[in-house]
Amino acid sequence: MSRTTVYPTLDEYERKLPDLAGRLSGISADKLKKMARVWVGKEAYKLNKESALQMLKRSFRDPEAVRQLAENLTPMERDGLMLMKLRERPVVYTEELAAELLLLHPIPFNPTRGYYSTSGKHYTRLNEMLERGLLMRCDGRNDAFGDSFYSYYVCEAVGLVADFFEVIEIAPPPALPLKPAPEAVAPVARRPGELILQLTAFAQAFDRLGGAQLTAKGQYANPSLAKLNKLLGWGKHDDEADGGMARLFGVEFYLGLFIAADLLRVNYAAREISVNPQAKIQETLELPLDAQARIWAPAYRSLRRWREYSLRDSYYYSESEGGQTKDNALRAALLLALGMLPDSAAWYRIEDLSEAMRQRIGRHFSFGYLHTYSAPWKSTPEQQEAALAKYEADLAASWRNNEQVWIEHAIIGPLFHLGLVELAREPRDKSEALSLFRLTEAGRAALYEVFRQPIEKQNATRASQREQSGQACWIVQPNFEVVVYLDQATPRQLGFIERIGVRQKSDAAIVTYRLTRESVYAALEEGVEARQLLETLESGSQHPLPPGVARTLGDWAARRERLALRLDASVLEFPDAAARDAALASGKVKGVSVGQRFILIEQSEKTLKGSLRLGGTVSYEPNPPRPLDIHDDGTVTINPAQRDLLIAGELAAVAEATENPLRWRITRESVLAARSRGWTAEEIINRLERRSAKSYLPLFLRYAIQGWFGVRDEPGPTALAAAPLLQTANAEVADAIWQCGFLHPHLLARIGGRALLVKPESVKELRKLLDEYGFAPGKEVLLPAQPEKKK
Amino acid sequence: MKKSKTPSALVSAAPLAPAESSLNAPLLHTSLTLVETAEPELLEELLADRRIGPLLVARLSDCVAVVAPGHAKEVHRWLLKAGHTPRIVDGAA
Repeated sequence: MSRTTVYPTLDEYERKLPDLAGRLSGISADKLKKMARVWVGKEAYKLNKESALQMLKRSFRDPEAVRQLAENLTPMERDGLMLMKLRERPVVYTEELAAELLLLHPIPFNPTRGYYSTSGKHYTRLNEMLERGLLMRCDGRNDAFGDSFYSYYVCEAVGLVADFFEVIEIAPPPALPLKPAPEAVAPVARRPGELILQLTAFAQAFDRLGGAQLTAKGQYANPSLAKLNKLLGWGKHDDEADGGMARLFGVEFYLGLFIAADLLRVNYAAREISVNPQAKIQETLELPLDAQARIWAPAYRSLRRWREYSLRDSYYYSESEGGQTKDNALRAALLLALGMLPDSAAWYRIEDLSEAMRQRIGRHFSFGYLHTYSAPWKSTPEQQEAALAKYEADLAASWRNNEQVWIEHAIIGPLFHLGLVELAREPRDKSEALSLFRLTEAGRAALYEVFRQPIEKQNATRASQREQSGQACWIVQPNFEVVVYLDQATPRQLGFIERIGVRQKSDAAIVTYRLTRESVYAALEEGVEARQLLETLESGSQHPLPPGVARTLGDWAARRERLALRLDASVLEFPDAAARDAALASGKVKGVSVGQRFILIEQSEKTLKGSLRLGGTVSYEPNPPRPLDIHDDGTVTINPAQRDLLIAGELAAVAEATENPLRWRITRESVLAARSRGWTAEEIINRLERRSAKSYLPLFLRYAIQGWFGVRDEPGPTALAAAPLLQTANAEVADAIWQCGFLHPHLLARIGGRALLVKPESVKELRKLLDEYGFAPGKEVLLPAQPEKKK
Repeated sequence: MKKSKTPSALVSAAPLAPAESSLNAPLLHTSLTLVETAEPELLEELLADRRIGPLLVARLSDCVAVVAPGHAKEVHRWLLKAGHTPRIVDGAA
């Protein structure tokens, strides 16, 4: 059996956090004292292990100790805690925080004769926080990250040991040394409506699909992707042909995005992705774009099972399963770098941003192998300088060929797609490459303002913006087509029209929907009220609704009210109408009268049983009662002790009634009547078996039903005929006759071990021959000997 | 809507009119799927439908019938196919 690796969500990691204090006992005395020093200063070295442990546990819970500690934190530690506060949760993905800390606090480079970096070096700043006891690994281990040369295993998340959020202020990080581009030409920006449309369409397609499957390796299952693609009409894209841009429109990106935003949930045990019942997807999609950007940007940072660009020289861990990778690290660094732009409204060169990032993290972070600096033994200062220059050049070239390409793809790809940046060309650039970028309004809100505007204010703004009602943005045509102008539609309006109509065609500016009875019905079933449907359609319309459309929509809504399918209902059956009415009048039963003897009850079974003496309870799902005794000849008897409300009706479809209401008969006529109403033999057999006390149908009757139906293969041909039979005492004699050259022409077939069928016209001749050869065949059939009955 | 060619008696009358019960105390039937119509004519129409009719196995009143156990989804699908737009109601009245 294959095993699926489980990747807990941050919520699940957060739930495990209280255990962190308990894990302290597994830490050595030296490390504990070092951690204690953060809280009590040099006095910590006088403590023994137990007292240091108790002091730490006490301090974690003491708000005053936490406040005092905050005053003594290093800038790096303060920034680390601030980055967690920005996420509004006490746990964070390891890769993300490690890269962000490295970007904010680069490790000084001080080469002497040589300098080694390893793939674990970019955890240095994060490890410092672990060592000081401000953070702990969420996997219960206490060792630092990147220590093991042989293992690429990295605990996915780290958590805070105490609540620092009250004492940590959010402050803008220092600006990167970047010069704005003096001029930008042919700027391109993604229309907000386009993105909202795709997000909404994805959410609705997923909802219609009901869920998606994962493979044993934790990847999205192809059949689920294909179904989603089909529902969305996005089709399959050729990744190589367009440099990866088309992948943005693939369902993998959106699946990952929705999972990372906690809107979808992964159940690893069931290998299933489903809607997170706590998430309000529709409400999220109806938020203004800048409020949504604050959801999608962090989701993009934590996105799994998707990659901006596959680098030839790179290696990854967890890439085949679905854990955090170095992509997440570089995404975190890139998003933070965008928050560190000197001017949030200026254009910058992507290459300059990449270089600024390289200066800070490039020596310790790489998708591939990190370069090493080493001067030859006993080298002169000139040789050392040359070796150092070569190291720097190799490092820069490697970054340009790998990480910079990745950064270009990330900015031109997902960041543009999510509406966080807009792009432009440089004047006089003949390549016409989109080499400039600047933050959009949404990008500024999600990446830049988060450091400059308090979280409470952000939330308040978010809530107030949700109230937006929108303007007239569509035209409803008499043929039930709705033409929507994307630049005028609010997310809420797009969400609404996507719910009630069927998308016909779309381009960057206009989307056309058709209102159909089915789409309107589906919207009503999802909870849109008939009046709300008409009002919202009218309020968003640039012209009054065509009278025919308004009338028909009203008719469709009214038609739905004429028929209901009530699931999981409970009905109370009384002996007669008087008893039923008395029960209702007494107030013991709450419900609605149905027909002569029934009440459709409104209270729970438990409450009902508490107030009324019941003759019994019959449950029909998932398994109905089995009151039927079915015989070979088609006779069906209902066990009166187990008779239920539905059994007679169920039998009526496939059997004939008799004078006795408890006896029915399955006959050729009843089966053929069922067939004429569209039943198949299997359906009849299944219905009877589902209610049969023995849970199966007598084999003879099953064949009879199939025979009456004219099923070609069952029961198969049978024959009742008189044919001369030659029997022998044993198989060897039969063999001898069957293989005899002059007897064989008189024989038809061998049946069983000791019998042969004889050609009717050869009986005389064969008897004569057998007589002649001493077999002396008799004229009585040789019956098999009956076993003696035991006394 | 396709109607059954066979006499409707086999489909509806006898089985769908529950025999007078010989109950002494009320009997509770749970986990049922009901079809409820605004007018008796609509239920008659459904009972006469060759795909939906046989799946309605007890008639509680002029406007309420019970769906055969395990066939709720099938009835929903057939109703949609027959041009109806049933309201899906979960649970009690």
